[in-house]
Amino acid sequence: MTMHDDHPYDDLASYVLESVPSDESAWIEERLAGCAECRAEVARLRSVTSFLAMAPGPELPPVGARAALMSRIYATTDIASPFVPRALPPLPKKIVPLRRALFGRFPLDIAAAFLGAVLVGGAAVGGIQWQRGAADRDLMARAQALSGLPIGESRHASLAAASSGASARLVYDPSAQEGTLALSGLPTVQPGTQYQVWLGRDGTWVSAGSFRPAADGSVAITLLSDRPMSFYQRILVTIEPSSGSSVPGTTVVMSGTF
Amino acid sequence: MSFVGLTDEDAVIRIQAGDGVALEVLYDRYGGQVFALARRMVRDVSLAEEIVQETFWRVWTQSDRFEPGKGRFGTWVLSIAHHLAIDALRRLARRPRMMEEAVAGETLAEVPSINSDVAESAWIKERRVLILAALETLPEVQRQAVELAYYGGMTQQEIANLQSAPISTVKTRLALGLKKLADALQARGVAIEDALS
Repeated sequence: MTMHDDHPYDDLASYVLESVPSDESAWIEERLAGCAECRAEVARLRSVTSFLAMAPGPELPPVGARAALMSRIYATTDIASPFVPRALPPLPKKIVPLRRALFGRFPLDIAAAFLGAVLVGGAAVGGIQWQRGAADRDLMARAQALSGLPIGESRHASLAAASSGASARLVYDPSAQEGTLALSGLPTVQPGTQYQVWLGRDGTWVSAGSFRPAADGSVAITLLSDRPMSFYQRILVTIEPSSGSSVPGTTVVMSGTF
Repeated sequence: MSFVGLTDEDAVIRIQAGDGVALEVLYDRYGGQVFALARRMVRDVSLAEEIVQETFWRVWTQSDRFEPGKGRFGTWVLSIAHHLAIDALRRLARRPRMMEEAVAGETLAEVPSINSDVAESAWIKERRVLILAALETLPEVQRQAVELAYYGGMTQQEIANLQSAPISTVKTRLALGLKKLADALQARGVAIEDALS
């Protein structure tokens, strides 16, 4: 190693670039402790290497990295986590039966035409007993129409039902903090209970709204999120007490993946 | 609580008080650069993601080691990431491609921006052009030595073997390379003290 009066000037660049062997690195660090000028030079050289670090240009880390980091941090501390579900679930912005939502949102003639097309389509495939695919497509069309989002600018998610009759479709803008969830075929819940929707990421869930469906088992709601919808990975519908829950219970009615 | 205008140094103070949101603020500011550096060095997205997480975990657990008087937070956090990436490279005995192979072939348009601020994005691109141009001014052997050390995690002995030169020569090349890089940046109006500002 090179020394000038026991000051490792000539080795500092190699040291900052971490290209010196560990024993030499330890020797340099010992000398740095007693050499303010050397420490200042190390700080200056580190500033230069920071520009090397910026040469690649920033890239968005994988979506799970941040959540995994924060989960690790909050799992090892007793501080409040922003990912912990809120104490009280927020009220959904809008809870309306599908039919009313359609008429309320669009000019009557368009809504009527839309419903007419749905009825004609339904009759064509067997009257009251729709085939599953047609019902799903219909539900998708309803969610899309209610969202007000152009098809090319929206994303969709399907929810699988624990019971055979229920179906749900979510339409959302990944960058927005809300989405439109249309459901049908939901069983009536017991008095004192309600459905609650959850958005989840890495095992942590936040409430996105609660609702009770119309008599025909259908409903459309606007989900509210504290973050852009793209932040989340999964969606759940559970049955909870009417007062709302802060974490999902065990009665999962539907689930889906973004 | 608004974190708009929160300085890096204030965020570190908040972290020392157990404020996780302050760490998220710093993650948002530097996570992209840390990931890009790690990915460029280890050439593996999963490993780079681990390095990002470990870097900010160390920010969280070792924030008391950051001394504002010795340099900026960005310099500190990138030095942590660089150290972790070198550890990973040496552990895996993996050698990445040279910088000119990895970076020079990319166009600026291919570099994804993580910043929605147009002025900030423009500055990031401009800064990158200036850095690459400054690197180009170094004599070939010096630039190669610096890049092998910084991005490749090579020891001076390994660089000496590769360049068929004595270690003392490699040390000189590294020292001169960083000095000329600083001069070239300053000649382009980039003050070294402005790193990551």
